[in-house]
Amino acid sequence: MAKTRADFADFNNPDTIIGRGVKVEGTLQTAGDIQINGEFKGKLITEKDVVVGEHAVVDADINAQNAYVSGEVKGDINAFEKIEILETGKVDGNVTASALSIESGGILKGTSTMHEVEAERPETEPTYEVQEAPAEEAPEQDTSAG
Amino acid sequence: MYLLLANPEAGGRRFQKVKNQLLKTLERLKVKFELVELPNLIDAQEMMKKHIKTDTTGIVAVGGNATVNTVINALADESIPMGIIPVGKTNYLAHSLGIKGWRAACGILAAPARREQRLGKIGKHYFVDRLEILCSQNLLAKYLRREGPLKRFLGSTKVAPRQLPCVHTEIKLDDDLKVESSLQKLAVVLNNEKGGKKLCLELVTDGPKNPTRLWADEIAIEGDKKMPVLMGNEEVAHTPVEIKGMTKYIELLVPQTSKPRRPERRLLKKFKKR
Repeated sequence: MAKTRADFADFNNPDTIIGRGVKVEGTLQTAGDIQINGEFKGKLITEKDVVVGEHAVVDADINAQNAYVSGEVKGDINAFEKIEILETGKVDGNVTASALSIESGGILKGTSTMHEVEAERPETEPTYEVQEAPAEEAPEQDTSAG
Repeated sequence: MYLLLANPEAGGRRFQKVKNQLLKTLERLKVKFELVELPNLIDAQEMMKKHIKTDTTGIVAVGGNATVNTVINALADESIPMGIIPVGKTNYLAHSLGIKGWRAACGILAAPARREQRLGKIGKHYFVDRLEILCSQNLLAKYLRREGPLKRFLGSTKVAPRQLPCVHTEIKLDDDLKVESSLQKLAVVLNNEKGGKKLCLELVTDGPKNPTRLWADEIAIEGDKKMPVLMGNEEVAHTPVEIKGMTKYIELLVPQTSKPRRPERRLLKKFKKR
């Protein structure tokens, strides 16, 4: 299988790692990246990224900058920027993000809500030229009384 | 002037063997010092207070792990920097700070750099740098994993388990998190950076490619078996234990080029060597 960002070796030195075979329960709040390869139950809050590895089982609501899911997540994910559900990823909950991508094979059971960024986007000029149709001469009205 | 607290019994009386050379080296480097031999490490604090003077610029632990640990505990409430001259069999802190042998240590005392190192507390003991908890208590199995005369004499490796033994362990972090796992090894590393959590907990469950790293200010560890807590190779406690990261710092005299090592890499390196 091709390596993905959710593979441990590809994720460059996360601050918090939960390895395979390790069960963690409670509220995990940190300012750095979190990688989960084991089991987690509770609440995950970080200012950076959360990576849920292929064998990970997470029963928690996640609040992060970005979330990359290759394992199982049961709970809502709220990402400030992006949520990626990779081919082995499974999310059973609602997701909210500015961008969402689901790879072929990835599962999302829940609703998805996009952050309202439309209003912030600058209006752009169209790149094609709009040709104005020549104005047709209006038919002369017969004003003469019959 | 430095106050040298030497343990004459350290490392099989190694200090006595190098004493003359060490004193000559310090004199040649024009390092001012007063040497106090500690026949009993329990009295280290008293001896230190007795000999400390207004012109004492640092307290230097001359010996191995036991001497270093004793001096750290004696100095925890003082604001004097600490130096190390490693003459014992092992000196984990000297190794961690990049002090290679007593000759190099004498050179460092002549032109030291200073580094603040956070203090941690386990029971009544203070510690710096790191603590390790080994789940392996079977020393025979440990030695059988290595090539050596014992292994050759016994001729068989079948008795030695391939995997390190595991102990089911429960860890509480700051009352926020509860961690459960079968562990091979565990290290508690003090975070020297100000701000953030004070302790980094590194767990090894099944080899170097599957680490766990968590952060906390207080850690309580409990295992199915009684596991030794090691400072260097010095056993300082047994599980169940409570470990705290303190807001206190101790100033250490280190080599000019000494860089703090990344705690997360060290434990993994040890396992890769096997």
